[in-house]
Amino acid sequence: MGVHNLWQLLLPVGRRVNVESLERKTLAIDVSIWLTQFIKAMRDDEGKVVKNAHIIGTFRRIVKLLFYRIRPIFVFDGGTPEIKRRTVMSRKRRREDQETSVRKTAQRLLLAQLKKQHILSGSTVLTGASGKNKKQKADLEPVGSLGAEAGFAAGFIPGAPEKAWDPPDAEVAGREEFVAGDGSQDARKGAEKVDGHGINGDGGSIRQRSAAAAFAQALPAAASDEEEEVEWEEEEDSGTDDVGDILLEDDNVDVMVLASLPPELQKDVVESAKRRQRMLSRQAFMPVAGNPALYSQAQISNFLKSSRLNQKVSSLREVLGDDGNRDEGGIGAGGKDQPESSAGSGTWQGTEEYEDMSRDLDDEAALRSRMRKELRDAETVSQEMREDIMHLLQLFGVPYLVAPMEAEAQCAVLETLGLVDGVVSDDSDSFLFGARAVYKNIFDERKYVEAYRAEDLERELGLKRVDLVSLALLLGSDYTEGVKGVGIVNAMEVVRAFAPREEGEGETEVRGGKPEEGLQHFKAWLDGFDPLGDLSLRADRKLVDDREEDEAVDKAGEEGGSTRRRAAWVTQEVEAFHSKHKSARTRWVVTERFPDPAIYRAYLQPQVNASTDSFTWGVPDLDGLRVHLAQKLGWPVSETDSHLLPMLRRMQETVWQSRLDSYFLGYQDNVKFAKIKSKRLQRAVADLKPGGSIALEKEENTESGQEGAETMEIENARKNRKGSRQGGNARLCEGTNADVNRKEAQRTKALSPSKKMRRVQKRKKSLGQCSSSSGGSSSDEGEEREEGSVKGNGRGIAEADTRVPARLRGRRGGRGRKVVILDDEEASGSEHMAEE
Amino acid sequence: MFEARLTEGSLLKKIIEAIKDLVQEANVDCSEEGLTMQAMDASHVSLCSLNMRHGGFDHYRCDRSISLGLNLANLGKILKCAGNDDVVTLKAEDEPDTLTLMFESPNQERISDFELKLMDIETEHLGIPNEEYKCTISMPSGEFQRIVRDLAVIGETCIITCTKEGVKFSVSGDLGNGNVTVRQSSAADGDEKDQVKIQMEEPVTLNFALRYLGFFTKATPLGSTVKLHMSPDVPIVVEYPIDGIGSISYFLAPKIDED
Repeated sequence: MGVHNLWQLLLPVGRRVNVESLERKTLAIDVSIWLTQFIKAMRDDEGKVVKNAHIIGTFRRIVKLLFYRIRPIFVFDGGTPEIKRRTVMSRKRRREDQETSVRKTAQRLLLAQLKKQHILSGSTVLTGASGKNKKQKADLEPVGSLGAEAGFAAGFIPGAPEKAWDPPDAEVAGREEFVAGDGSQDARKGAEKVDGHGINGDGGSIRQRSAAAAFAQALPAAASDEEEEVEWEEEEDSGTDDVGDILLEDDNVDVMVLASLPPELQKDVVESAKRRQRMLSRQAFMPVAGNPALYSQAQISNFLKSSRLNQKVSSLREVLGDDGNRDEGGIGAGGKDQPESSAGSGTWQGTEEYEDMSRDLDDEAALRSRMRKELRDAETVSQEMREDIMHLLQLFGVPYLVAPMEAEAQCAVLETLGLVDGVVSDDSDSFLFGARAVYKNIFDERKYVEAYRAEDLERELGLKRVDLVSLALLLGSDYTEGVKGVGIVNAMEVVRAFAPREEGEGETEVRGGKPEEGLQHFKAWLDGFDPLGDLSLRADRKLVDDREEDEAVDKAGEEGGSTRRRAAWVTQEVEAFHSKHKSARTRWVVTERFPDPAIYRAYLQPQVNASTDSFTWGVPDLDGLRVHLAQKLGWPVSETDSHLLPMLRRMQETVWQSRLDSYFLGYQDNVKFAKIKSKRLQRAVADLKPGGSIALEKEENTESGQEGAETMEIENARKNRKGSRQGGNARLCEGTNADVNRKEAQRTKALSPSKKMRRVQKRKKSLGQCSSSSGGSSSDEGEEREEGSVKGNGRGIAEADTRVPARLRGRRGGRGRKVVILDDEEASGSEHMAEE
Repeated sequence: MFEARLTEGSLLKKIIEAIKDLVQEANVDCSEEGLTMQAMDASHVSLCSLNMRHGGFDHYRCDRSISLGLNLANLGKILKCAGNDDVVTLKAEDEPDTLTLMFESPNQERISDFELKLMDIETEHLGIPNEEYKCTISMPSGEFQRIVRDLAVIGETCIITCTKEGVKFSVSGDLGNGNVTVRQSSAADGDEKDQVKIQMEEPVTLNFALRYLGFFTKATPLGSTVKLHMSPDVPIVVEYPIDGIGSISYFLAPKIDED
């Protein structure tokens, strides 16, 4: 959406404007991202889209606009410019990836749930516990039919066919019951343990249980005939238990010997050994339950025994793992047994994953939210939705048009043609297409709208339209991937160095017809990496300096006499840039085509409809809307009316209340809500804007001064303020420095002296060395932490001041300000790291 | 150090009463010249501007200009603790977190002091042009209050028409309509305070919301006279001069008829 991170740069020139001050303005509304927004934002608890979310969303927004008597013109996206298609393609690819991962998350979710049910069912059986576990198991086994198990188990294997995930519930149910039956034995034991203080925690029993489940599932594989399952159960009972005894009793049983047994038998042995161990431990517990000392003794000995057993089992597993082929062979030999065996091994894997899952069982919520997010990102906008919205607009009597290409570009042209007073868009592209007044976040619940003016961009940031396009090329946008490694601060410095100002340049006029020239130089610089070249550049510079000196002395310039002439574009700025960023040369990656003139063309001469036909607004069709909303949303008339009637009443008033803002308050008087925090960025900005560097320097002086100087600043600010109040328009000329000063002064004032000192120190610090984040003294810590906590939220360049208008003074905790900072320490911390 | 002492403490009470319904929070700027305050109501339709000259106080000292961010409702609560005859003293440090109010009973038997926490209030600063108005009407404040109160019963919007003959206040509402015309008093008529005087360059007609005019008349106890300043298509100024110390002025943006 738009140019990456450009809004962060623009934030400081934005102003807080009362929604009501937009009354009676004609605004072009860029609808291009609305649908996507609605689909992404309007979700129920499950993460599914609210039905007809786009209709509800659009309806609310239209009502808001009309309520404030704004005259909107809705602009839809037409085609996608060729140049954007590439980016769109990569977006689509991302979306496809997302769809796959939705499926994966779904699988993990199911697993997590199964795990939960496992535990639950275990405890259910526990309450109704009876001694006939085995019988129960035998009953259950036919239910969880082997085939289904195989399918289910296969589902746990990564990369298993998706089919496995469409199974009817029966299969899952079968498995669950199976697990339940199997778990009951353990559960009972677990219960006993819990009764007697339960030292062996849940974690242990869970693992045991799941291991047991795996063994139990492998059992059928041992049976040669499925029909004889129950019989075999009995057989197994008598037979393998003895083997289990061996494993348990005889510590010297060679694991290798065990491993050499056929896999089926191994499992039986281990299984029965475990069972025997459990029985033994129960027997040991029973008589001593009344005596705590004996009881704990028994517990310890049992624990030792079972851990020995577990050791053995795990070593057996290792042996098996080492010798996987043999296992495979055993399975292969089984012929008819194969599916069952694979089911068994599948469960082995499943069990392991299972154990993994038990670790983050609590993360189910997190998984769910991830699922929601992925679902959200996978959703797309359909043509049908667009038509729904257009129909709604017709009912409201609001004019709309479909742009030939990009909606933002069309909005900007409408403004240039004088058909609208401003553009409502959340897309920073708008400025690149030539919009002059952009309103953002107009649909937020807040009372204020963020307003941005191209004039402010030029005056305060020194950014003309061409420069913005250059920024887009560096940062990346809908049309280009950008330069890898270049962030907003660096991008501004590049623009500063390689796009020097020219006097008397027209607004949209393209510099010498070749807007990309500046960045071509940048690329030349970037590509021109060779240590010798660097040296020669420096030598050149020196040479030129010398020559200039010579010229100054004897005024006889030897034109072109030098054999080594530096390129015309190697200006002072370029060299300053060079010395600062020379290590970045190797790190910044540009594409082959950079800087693509086509991108400049796409932004500066977009394909638009330049018709000057004026628009008309109709009266909302109340009955039509009632019917339409009843159909689409199932809203009763009362619901529709509750939204529409207040709006209609406002619209019908012939007398409207004007506001003082329109008489006494110029746009420039509106409060700004953010400030550039990064000193580096400030400098880059200052160099771009005419006469800005002096002002900044002055500001820095006062800042690095002592406290006295700061109070002076307050005085000055006060005078500025007073003068401005009387002066009315004279204030506009004073420009924003006074404004900034005043705000700064106010902020300083609110701080207690000690805190102020810290502030000063901190400023000095950030003025001085950029990489000094480690040098924070303990007195700084409080402040650091205060800001640091917010830093994590999101890195920005500007400090967004979203606090409520008033707050108590001198209250530290009461700082309701949300700070999105990227001040020097951080900015250069990260960027320097990249450069050094 | 800021210190201001008013023998007539009730004046401060009246001023706060006259503002607090319109504006909840405001910055009061204290300078050598005196106290000023400028604040808009939440919907930015009206503005209240207070001006108190230093000479109007019994004692006034302000070493350095400070700005007091006040919650007016809270200030009103504290002022309720002052007796009507009390001498009120305001005090604040150079970089204040609080404003101290001291009330002394006339016979010095009772002295109370209160501290009000200050706030940081960020406001838009309006550049109000120092403009000459086409019409200036001076009339008894009680009379104006009565007209506003009466018309508010009938409708929401009041049309003020100023001609040479007099000022006409018209209203129309669901139940009907009404007009009140106030004529210019002849020079001989009694007390100057009760006179209606009209200075006019050209006739002016403007529409205003009676609700806001109602808020303004809360200042009636502050003085016997009210002055209305009007020019076409700009906000009206309703000014209440406060004897000997300054004035309180209200600006109200007109309602605009589309037809």
